[in-house]
Amino acid sequence: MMHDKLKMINQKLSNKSGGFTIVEVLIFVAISSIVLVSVISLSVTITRQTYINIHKFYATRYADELAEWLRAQKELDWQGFHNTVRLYGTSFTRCVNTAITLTDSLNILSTSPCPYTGITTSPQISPQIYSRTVRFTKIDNSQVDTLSNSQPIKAQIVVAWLEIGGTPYNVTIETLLAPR
Amino acid sequence: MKKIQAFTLIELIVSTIIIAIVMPIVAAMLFSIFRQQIQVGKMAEVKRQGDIALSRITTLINSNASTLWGASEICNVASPNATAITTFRDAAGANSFGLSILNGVLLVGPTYQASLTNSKVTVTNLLVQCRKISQFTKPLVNVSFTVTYNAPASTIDVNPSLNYSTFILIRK
Repeated sequence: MMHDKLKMINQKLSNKSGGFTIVEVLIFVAISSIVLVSVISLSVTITRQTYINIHKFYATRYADELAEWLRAQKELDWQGFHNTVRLYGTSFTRCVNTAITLTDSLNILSTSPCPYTGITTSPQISPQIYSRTVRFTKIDNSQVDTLSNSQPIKAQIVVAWLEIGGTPYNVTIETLLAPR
Repeated sequence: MKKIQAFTLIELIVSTIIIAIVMPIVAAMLFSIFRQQIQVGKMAEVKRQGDIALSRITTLINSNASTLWGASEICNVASPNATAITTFRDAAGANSFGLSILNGVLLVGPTYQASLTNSKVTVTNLLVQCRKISQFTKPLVNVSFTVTYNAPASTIDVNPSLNYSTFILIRK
């Protein structure tokens, strides 16, 4: 009698299934998917940001290079430099996608549109995704037509590029070009 | 008899398989992120050293140079030549300093005694040119070089590299 009762209890215990309930499974799936999605999105963000950072190094160099060249040009011949800028009104944008060499004059400031074709340098080491423009603005418009203009000109250099997916980025520097 | 609570063999195998699938994916993700971060670090080093070298060269030319000499004076109206060995001369006509590369290190000075870069980067394609727009204008100097990170060639990553080029008008 006593033995049978024990046997029944034992059977009852061993029959109790030890699986997860549906609520437990759902909670587990929910938590793990939240963690997984955040980890993946984080790694995608890091990867994208890294490429942007590397591209920014090149862009900064290109912008600095053009700024240094413009500074040398205006010191070489302020009047000639000013007259070239003066021809185009109070503000204008020019494209300089080519590499600058010592023999280049202000004629390399191209009036054509500026595509993202990259700055051609030798040796070719940077990704060919850049467009380099310079925007000249006269500080004092009242003296636009004076040949002996001594007013400074503001040059805003923008090196722009497109990341994967077409997101535009740019590095902008401004320099004030004034007669010495 | 006491029932022993434990995982069955099947459960262990299944969980091992899942871990075996997930771990390589996670490891690959981490590896690629670390690799890119290392590339950014290398690029930053290249930029840092190149910028320092360029700024020191600019300062030296502005303060000590009057013209550029190869076999003769290079600064003239003709198109610039690509002479490898050039020396800047001061206003008195004495040799002031020159630029040179030895084992990938950019050197400067009267006897090329001072290093502008360290062994972490390699400098190549050094070119010092000079030109006058007309006979009576001041000479325009162009210094250009390439800075590349100095690491054993890897099949995965290219060593970061930057072209440097600056234009300086000699005023003395």
